[in-house]
Amino acid sequence: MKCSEFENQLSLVTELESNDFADREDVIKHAASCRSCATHLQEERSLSRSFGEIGAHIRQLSPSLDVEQRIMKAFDLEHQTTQRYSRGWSRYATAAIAATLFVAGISFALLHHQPQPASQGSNSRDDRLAAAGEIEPPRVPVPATLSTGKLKWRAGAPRSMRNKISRDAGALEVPREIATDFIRINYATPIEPGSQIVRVQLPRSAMSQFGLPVNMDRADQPVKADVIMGIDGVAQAIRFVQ
Amino acid sequence: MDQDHQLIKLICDGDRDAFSALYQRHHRSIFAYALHMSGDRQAAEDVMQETFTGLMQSAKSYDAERAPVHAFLLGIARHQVLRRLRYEYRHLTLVDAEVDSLPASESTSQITIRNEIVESVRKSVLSLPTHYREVVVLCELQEMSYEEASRVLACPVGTVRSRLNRARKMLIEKLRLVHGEDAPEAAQRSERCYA
Repeated sequence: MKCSEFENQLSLVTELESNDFADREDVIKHAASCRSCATHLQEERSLSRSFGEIGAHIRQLSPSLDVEQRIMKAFDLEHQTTQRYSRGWSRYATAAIAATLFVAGISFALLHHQPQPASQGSNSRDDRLAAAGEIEPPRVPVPATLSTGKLKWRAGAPRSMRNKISRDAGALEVPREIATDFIRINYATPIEPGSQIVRVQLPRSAMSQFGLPVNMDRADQPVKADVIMGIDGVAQAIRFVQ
Repeated sequence: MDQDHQLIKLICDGDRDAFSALYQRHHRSIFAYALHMSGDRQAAEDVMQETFTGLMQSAKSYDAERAPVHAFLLGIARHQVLRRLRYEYRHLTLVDAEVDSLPASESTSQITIRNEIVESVRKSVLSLPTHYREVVVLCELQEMSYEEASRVLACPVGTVRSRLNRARKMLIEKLRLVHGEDAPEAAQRSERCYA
């Protein structure tokens, strides 16, 4: 073997994967007869041995324990964020579907609406007040829950729907908007003619302030309410609508 | 499906125990790779943290047919290491730990010489250009096969082999200079051998 061949075959000695034992023998035999190549072979072996020692030593080292804690904490945070994100999206999707159905329902009702003379309207007390352009002081109610333990709801559906119901008397029952009695908020001043009813949305928890039961599963959902606003802009009474 | 792949699937579903198990199986290897490449313990810990954090975000994109999980993790770690080396140039900071696992049969002077050689090799490895250093780290220090290294480095096996061969020659040249071998003689040997 020549020195140039030795250089080419040297990797056979140093490579861990080499299985060509015959060529390895030739390389080692040449190194025994050539001082320069023997030195080179020794350098290669020393390098391989150093690699082994460095590798073995580093493999014994471990990262500090707080690294693992930081990583696991990051995992928990990431997972919580992902869950919250997906939960938020499902909530938005549900709200969007509900809103779409609501708009579709309103559109359907408006398309089938046929105005009727006012005299043929319902005989609801609020309608009579609205037709007269004034509102009479409502009776001060006792919350139904206090008297009977059960809510007492009263019809308060929109005029269009009520007209249709009156036309189709005896027909199928159509879902109506139901409401509690008006509850006085401000006893200081009487409810005067010229007061207005304003439809608002309130947190469902507001019902509890008037002694009404609140479903805690739906506590974060708003509830509709009609508020009688005096001519001075002060709320006089309220009723909750469903 | 191997165990690592199953763990990856569980991690995608947010399984904390699976993530912890995968960490326990691979953290030493990732840490060692980062330590060899950076030469700095703090940097290696940072790289390891970034690697496993990156795994959380890229676990769903893991393709078992392309590479095993270990190579996938080393690929993430490599990306982080290269990013650090590119911007921070901390690779000349050396590992504080001492090599103390020499055979007891060697004499004190032999141990001292070996320690010097090992330290020189470690410094020389850290001074190699990055693409030579990483093949030395993977194939020599972490004892990976050429095929495994080629998956991590995303290059052909032949490239790994040639880079490693060249890296060894560069290291020997550096060590000759460090240990005071006659420069002209070293240059002559270098010319003869590597031409």
